[in-house]
Formats: sequence, C-alpha cells, structure tokens
Amino acid sequence: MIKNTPILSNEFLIKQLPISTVFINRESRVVLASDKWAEDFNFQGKDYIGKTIYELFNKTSGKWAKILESCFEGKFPEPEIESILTINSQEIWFEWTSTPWYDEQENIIGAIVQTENVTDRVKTELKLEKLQFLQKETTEHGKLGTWEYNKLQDSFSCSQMIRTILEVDDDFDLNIDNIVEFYKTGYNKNTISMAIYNAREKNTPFKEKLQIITANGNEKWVNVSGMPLFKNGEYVALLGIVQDITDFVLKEQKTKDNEHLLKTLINNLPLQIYIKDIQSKKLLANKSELSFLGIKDENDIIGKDDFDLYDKATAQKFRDEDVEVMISQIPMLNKELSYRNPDGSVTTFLSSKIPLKGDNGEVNGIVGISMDISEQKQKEQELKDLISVTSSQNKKLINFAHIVSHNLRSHSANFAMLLDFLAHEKDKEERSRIMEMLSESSKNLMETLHNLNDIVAINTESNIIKQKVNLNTNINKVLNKLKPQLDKNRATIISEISDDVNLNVVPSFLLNILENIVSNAIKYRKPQLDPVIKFSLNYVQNYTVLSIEDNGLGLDTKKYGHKLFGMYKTFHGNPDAKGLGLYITKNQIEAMQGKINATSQVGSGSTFNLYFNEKN
Amino acid sequence: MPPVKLAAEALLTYTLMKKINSIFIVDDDPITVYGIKKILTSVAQCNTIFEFKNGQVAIDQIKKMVLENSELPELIFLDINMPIMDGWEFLEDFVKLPIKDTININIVTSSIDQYDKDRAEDFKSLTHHCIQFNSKPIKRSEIEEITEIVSV
Repeated sequence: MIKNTPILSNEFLIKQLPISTVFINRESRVVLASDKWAEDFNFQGKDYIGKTIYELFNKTSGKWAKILESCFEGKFPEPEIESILTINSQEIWFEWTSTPWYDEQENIIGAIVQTENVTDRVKTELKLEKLQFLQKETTEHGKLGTWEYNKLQDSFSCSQMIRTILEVDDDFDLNIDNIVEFYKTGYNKNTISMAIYNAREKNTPFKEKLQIITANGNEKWVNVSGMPLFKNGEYVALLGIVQDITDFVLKEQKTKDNEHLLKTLINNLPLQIYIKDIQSKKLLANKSELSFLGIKDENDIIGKDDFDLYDKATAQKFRDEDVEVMISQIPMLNKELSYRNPDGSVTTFLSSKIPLKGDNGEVNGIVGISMDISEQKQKEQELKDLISVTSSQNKKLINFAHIVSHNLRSHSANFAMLLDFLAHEKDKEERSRIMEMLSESSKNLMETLHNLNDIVAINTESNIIKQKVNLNTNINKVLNKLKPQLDKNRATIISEISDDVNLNVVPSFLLNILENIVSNAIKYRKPQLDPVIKFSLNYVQNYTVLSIEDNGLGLDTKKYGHKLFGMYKTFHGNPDAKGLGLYITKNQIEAMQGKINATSQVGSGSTFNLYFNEKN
Repeated sequence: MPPVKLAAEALLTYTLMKKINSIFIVDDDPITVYGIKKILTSVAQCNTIFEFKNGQVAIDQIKKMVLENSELPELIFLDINMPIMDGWEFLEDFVKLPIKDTININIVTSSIDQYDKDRAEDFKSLTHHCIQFNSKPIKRSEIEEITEIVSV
C-alpha cells in the first residue's frame, strides 16, 4: 500500500521524535508517526499505519481536508487549535501545525502534522478572559474604580470608572495630589490625605468611607481603600480602589430613618406592642411593654416567653390565644382581659393579636398590641356604681314620695270628711265626738310628720358620720334601756359576741337598730313561751354580720318577706304597730352602706341578719 | 223646725230609704269606718254592718259564710292599705271564691295613683263582681249612688 518510502530508513528516528508528529500521504493516510503522537492520541499498540486520519479521529473530512489540501499544494496553513475528548471524557486542546512533506525530488508527497497539547495554555487564556470579563462587570456594576501610582516613574493611572465617579473628562489630568482635592473639605480631606501619606511613608494600607464632591459639584459617598506595593521590601507603587456607594448609603440612610421613625413611633405610642415568634418567644417589645413588665432593657426580654413573665395559668391562656391566632390566621381584636397583679390590683387590657406573615405567606409569629384600660374600666365601674346608687336612691325617693303622699292624703281626707260632718251636724254630742276625732287625727298627722322627718334625716349625708364603737357596750346599753320589758316577759339573752368586737357605725343608728329588733322580739313573742334572744357574729366578704335570733311568732317570709322592711307594713294585727320600725332600721343600715335581711318561719321564730360594712 | 215635722220627715225618709241587708267595711282606720257608717245610715237602711280591721279577717269570715252557705254581704267597702292582708290581696282571694251572686265591692282608698286605678280595672275584668274605685274622702253622693245600685 505504501509506495515510495525513502524515509523508511529514518523510521526509528522519527518514532523517537520528542514532538508529536505524524506523516500523512496525499490520500490522508498515516504513513509514519512519532511514539509521542501515538501516546497523545491513545493509538499505542494499535494498528494506525495506513489508516486515514478521518477514520482514526472519527471525523468527517471538511476543515482538515482543506488544510491538508493546501499543504499538498505547497502552502503553509496557519496553526489550528482544536479540542478533542479523550476516552476518559477529558477535554484536551491541541494546536495543529501542518507543513508540506517533500521527497528528495522536492515533490510534495504528503503533509507533516505536528501537534502540541495546549490544554493548559487554552485554559489559562480562558481563565484570563473570564477574569477580565468579571472585573469589567464588577467594576461597572459595583461602580468600582482603580488607580495606581508608580513611585519610580512618578506616574498616575486610573480606570475609566474613576473618571465616571469623579465626573471628569478623559483629558483631565489626574494625579496622586489632585485626586485628594475631590474629597470634601474637613474630615474627609484630612482623612484621605493622612491615609495616603501613611501608606507611602509607613506602608500601611487603608480603607475609609468618605464623602467627595465631584467636578460637577455633586456630593457622593465612596469606599476608598489603598494598598502600597513593594519590590524587594521597597515601596514602589500605591494601588487604590474607589467605590461609589452613594445609592447604598442613601438607601441605608433612608432605611435607618424609617427604622428610627418606626422605633420612635412604637416606643412613644401609649400602647404595649410586642412581636412574638412561632414559639411565642418575644422578638420585640416597646417601652410601654417593658415598663409594664418592669424590665429595663429590651435585651432582657428578647427570647423569653409568657411562662417566664407571668404565672402559669395566665401564661397558658396567652399561649393558647397565640396558637389560635397563628393557626386560624384570623386576628384577635380588642379582647378584654384582666390580669391580677402581684399586689392584688387588677389591670384590664384591650388586647389584639395579629398573625405575622412572612414573604412565603406562612405565619411566623404574631404582633401584639395591648392597651391598659384599667383607668377607663375603673371610671366605668364608678359610673355604674353611681348610676346604681342614683337609680336606687331615685327609686327610694319615688317610693317614699308615694308613701308620704298616700299617707298625708289619708289624713287630709279624714279632715275633709270630719269637717264636712261637723258643718252639717246639729247634735251636740255627735259634734263633740267629731271634734275629738279631729284632734286625734291632727295628733296622728303630727306624729306621721315627725316620723317622716326622722326618715329623711337618716338619709341626709351630713348625719352619716361613722366611728368605731364597741358592739357589746352598745348591746348592753339597749338591753338596759329595755330592761323593764325584758324582765317583765322573763326574756333570756344569749350572746356569743366577745368583748373586743368593734364596729364602724353611726352610733345612734346602731342603738336604734338594736333597740328596734330586740323590742320586736319581745313584742312578737309566743304567748306561752318565754322569749329567748340570741346574738351571734359572722364575717362575710366585706361585712361583719350580726345575727339576732328569737323564738317568737315568726312570719311567713315567702308571703311577707318583700314587705317586711316596707313602710307602714304591719303583720300581726298589733294595735301599737305603725309599720315604721323595720323601715327605719333598713334605712339606717343602708345609710351606713350595710344591708339587712331576715329568715323566719311561722311559729318558729325569726333571725335578723345585720350586715355592717366595715370598708366604706 | 218643730220636732213633729222633724219626726215626720225622718219617717218619710226612712220609708223611702233603700234597704240593704248586710254590709262589710274592711278598713283599719276607725275614722274612715265611722264616716262610712255615718253616711250609710243616713242614706240607706242597713240591717247589719260588719267591721274588719284587715283583709285577712274579712276574707276568713267570707270563706266561712261560703262554707256554711249563709247569706253573703251585698256590699263591701274595701280599704287598700291595711296590715296583714291588704285590699289587693283580699281581692285576689275573693275573686277565686265560688260565689254566684254579684257582690258590690267599693274600693275606698286615699290613693289617687293611676296605678291603683288600673289595678282595680284589672280586677273588674277578672270577675263578675261589681268593683268600683273611690278616692277618699268618701262623699255622701257616692254612697247614695252605691246604695242605689245595690238595692235595685
């Protein structure tokens, strides 16, 4: 197959060539190749002689054919760089240099192709290209400019970006001295001058954030850093990097301003504001919240949950609310809740909890807003109390007016009737009887007016001056006063009250009340039974309760209970009964902020419970 | 006026006077009772007038009479404000009693309260008995009118 092989004698020489070389005949078949070539392309031990290079490299003719063709025509084509994939899928770059192959008669008999593995070179070139690209993009996008001062040549050079930042034309002559002039007078200029001086004299690098004034008079923020370069320990140059950070600084400033505004707002609102994470741990707490919790530093609350701050029951309640809001994603708004402080006082809040959603739409915490409405609540309660007092007083007044008008009317009706009789009566005896009745009537009216006056006096504020009195002393006073009746009816008094019991009362009221109840117990005794009156004492909430029990007639409290303390109500047909005693008693005890009730059953006695208000 | 003429006048009046068999006065005020009685005897011929100090004793008596099937009062003067059982409570019990006859009940009270008047009206609609509301002082003309109704 291979004809004219004058070089055969040199075959072993060619094989040993240190450069990858292949001899190709005009039919593009391999005639000879160096071992290096076989090694490079993995043809060692394979039969490659006589095969076309297209076969060997699994390529279609195309470009290679053209190059070989031009060699066969005696030309010297430009070297080509091409990559191939090795069996191990490694990319290898080769530079091909093809030259015509002459025989001794200077006839072109083929082409000599020398290949060089340039993978490393290509890669380095690519890397450089990449770096250059990156640098270009970074400087442009990052607004990074660089300058270099060469000490030996006393030359100054800078990148285009420096000119862009300083807003100077290409023909403006920048140097190491006038570049400093762009810095704002004062702190900025002093700082950069010192930094450059120190870099040159003391070899210290620098990095500063400073303000410049551009050629056009614009104010800009820059990050400027400098690095002295050395050769053999000697300062040779200074490299500078200037970054325009105006946008960033302005944005940062704006963010800071906003944050400051928000913080000022949050801290000065008369509301307690906090943010909790998904575990109900506090992430933020404003001043009001901190002062409510008695914590000085916000850092002492961050990361804490309600279990660290409140009692267990309260904390659990708050946590349940948090979870509910976070799961349902429905805000809890203006819920009123009361919290008992360690000192016993009650704080009432209007509390709102709003789910806090992240960018992904998922809840990652809550914002809480609480308003302390204790004061309003207290005012509301005071108002309610006042209304209640007013309406009860009003009711009492109407009732009183009603009774009085009724009572006075019945007297005046009697007067009118009797006077009418008198005008027409001729019989002397009858006339004197009518006159008697008239005077009786007038006496009754006088008495009624006295009684009404007494009742009005009870409810007159100025008469209600409470003082501490000993209970037993007062009981004894009353018992002494009633001694004749008590003795006459062989009454037994039992008292369980110790001598040290004091009550805060209007003394005259207490005496009156005791006298009334004790004398009632005698008045309404059982005919065949000696009266027994028992005093006992209890404490119920804010009241000291004096109970006076008798073994008298009793009455049906179901039937008469509601009237027992009414005006002009009598129950036993007793001719002496005026229906005023218990009415006055009730008025007196209520005037002292107390209350009275009775339990009784027909035939088995009555118990009157007097509630003395010790607080007010 | 000569005594003879007076007596004749009295006789004439007496024969003209309405006759009422039995009257109850339920009132704890002796003056009112005196007044009613005084006017009654001058305008009608009353065989028996019973007085009761409160509603309880009156209703007890009426209950007894119903049980014994004896003759009930034709006319009752009833006070409202009384101890033990007041006029309203008396009425409550009274209208429940199995009495076929129409009894005239005259409420005589010092009250001029509309509330009390309305309450009397309520009782009227509850019963076949004749209930009237009069404010004190009771007048002769009113009692005349009442006796007129009763005796007819």
